[in-house]
Amino acid sequence: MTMRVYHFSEQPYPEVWTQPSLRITIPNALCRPEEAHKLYHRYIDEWKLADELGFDIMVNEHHSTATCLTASANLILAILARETKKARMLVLGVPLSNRADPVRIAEEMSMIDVISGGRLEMGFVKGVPYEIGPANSNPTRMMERLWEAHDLIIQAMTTHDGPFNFEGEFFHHRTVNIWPRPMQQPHPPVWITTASASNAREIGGRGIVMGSFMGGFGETKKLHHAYAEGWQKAGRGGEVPVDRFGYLAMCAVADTEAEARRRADLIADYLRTNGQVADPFNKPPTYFPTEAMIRSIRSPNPKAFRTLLTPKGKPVELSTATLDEFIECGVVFAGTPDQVYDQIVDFTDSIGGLGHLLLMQQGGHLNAEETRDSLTLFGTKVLPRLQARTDSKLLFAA
Amino acid sequence: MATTSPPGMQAAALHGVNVEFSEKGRGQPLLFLHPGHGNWGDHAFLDALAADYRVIAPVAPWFGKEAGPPLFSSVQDLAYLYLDLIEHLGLDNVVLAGSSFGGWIAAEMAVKSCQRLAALALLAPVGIKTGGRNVRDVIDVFGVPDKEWQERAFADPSLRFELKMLDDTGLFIRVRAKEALARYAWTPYMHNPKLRGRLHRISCPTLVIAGGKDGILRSGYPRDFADAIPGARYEEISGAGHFPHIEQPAQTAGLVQSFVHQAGEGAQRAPVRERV
Repeated sequence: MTMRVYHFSEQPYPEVWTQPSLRITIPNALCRPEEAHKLYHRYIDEWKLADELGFDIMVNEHHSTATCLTASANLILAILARETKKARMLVLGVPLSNRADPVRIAEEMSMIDVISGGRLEMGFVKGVPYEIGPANSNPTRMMERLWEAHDLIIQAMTTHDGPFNFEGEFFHHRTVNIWPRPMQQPHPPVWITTASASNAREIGGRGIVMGSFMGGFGETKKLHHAYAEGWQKAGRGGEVPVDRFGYLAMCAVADTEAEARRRADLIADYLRTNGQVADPFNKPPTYFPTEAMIRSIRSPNPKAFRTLLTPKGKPVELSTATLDEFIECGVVFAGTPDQVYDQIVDFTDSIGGLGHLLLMQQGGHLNAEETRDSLTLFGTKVLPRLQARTDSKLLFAA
Repeated sequence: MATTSPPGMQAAALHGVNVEFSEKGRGQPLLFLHPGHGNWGDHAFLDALAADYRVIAPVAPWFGKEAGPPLFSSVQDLAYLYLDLIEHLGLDNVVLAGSSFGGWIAAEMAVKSCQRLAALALLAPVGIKTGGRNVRDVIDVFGVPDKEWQERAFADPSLRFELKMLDDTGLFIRVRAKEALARYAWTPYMHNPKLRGRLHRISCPTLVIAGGKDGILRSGYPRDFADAIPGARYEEISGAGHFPHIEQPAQTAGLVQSFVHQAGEGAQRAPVRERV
């Protein structure tokens, strides 16, 4: 089993990143459509280059924001299904809890799978807290809605003998019968993201691929252990194939360490801008546990986003971290090709193996020339070495 | 399911749903339904009413410390629950009062049945849509910082405070109340599109009280609400924001008492309403 490496960009619109809120309330008068036009085509070209270099590709979506022009992950995937040739196409993901119609999602994803020749990796997410506002979805019971939508989508993709009836608690259809059906059988691989151990156990119990984002050494390993608990409790065996795990980090490569660090620092603005959300859309009721909300109200730094521990036990707050701290945590890989190779091997071995490495290789103000150079260096000098590794772990032992 | 109630609280098990309520005073029963932030600040008002009434003040499921019924997700669930509570306690001739979100529940109860109600008192109620589709009748309480919410809610600056000043229990209840309110009132936001067309069913004397400095409701909204209820009386308390019962407890209680008194006299003069 070879580790798969993905190129990810949120398609940022960075020229207005000095605004106090980059989400929800930022008026779209600040969006110049001509600039957005250029950016979309540029980012699509970068995904095409990644495909040619042997990467897989990842997309996501956010709403009402200058941090991400992908307002519909399925739309950009539909373009990439035609524009790319070999890459697995991961959407991570479609915000299931915020969508009114899972059947429509099943239709769109089946179309994408068929157009791409069976290359879709079908990721579902609860959605970050500030997606609640634009979607106007109820923040209570989001995970219950997510699982019911998930079940309906899978049933829609795997039922082939005409319409079926679905009257759940949240979603109601009397005649579900999608055309086309997906090319991959019985359905494209399912991914779900989480940052919580209880969700990780549930995902593990279902055997679905789990994506986790920028949790570094400690958090990621904890989530993988929780997944393994669910996996074992469901009777799936003692060890988990590492292709059940995806991990998202940021990455920049250059010929010199100094230039790579400069590039990585630009991409890391993605995390530093995380606090730029109009209050209180960043903390809708019930999104976080009641106790966490109370801690946040009492916190001297209410804008804090996420605090990680380095392997040496030093706390690092992601919204204000330095590049060295990001690297120490395993949230950023940056340097020459050799350095990045070593950082990635150290990280993946330390957490017990990894099947899917998701890399944000474009972010913030990193321009096209820099992005293409970084991608090309990784694609020609790091990717082949990672793919040639024979000593990496295939099974995660809890 | 038996649970231990906090001091001063009683509990009733109604068809598998546990309802906690406080009770004080004697006489005609008065059921008070708290607003969306829970029962914070209502003591002086309830004490004033308890001089004349047997005041029963439940805490809506999900607003308290315990988890509520998993399937409770709408104001209808609360309206039926409280109608059950009135029956369970064997109450009759009830004065039903509610503030803001509690006023919405009270209105939903009254359109279902006024059989056991003597009078209805709605304090800056929400629950209907009267403005146009681009008009917010109720500010987005989930979309403004707490500081702004307090400034809009209270005319008296001394009632405003930073949330972190609350003790752990107080803060827990406050956060839980916001969570519960989202469960019941997220969308359609703070109203039931069907309710306005049903308000004609309210057959008991009704009083709508508005705060003269209410920054939560659109100006004119409480009067629209009163106009939609047959024969309802409209009163305004100039020195109050969105919560007259918290800011002007004596004056608000006095308005309710005199209204109920007059309504009672009127009922004695009028032919006795047939009760089924």
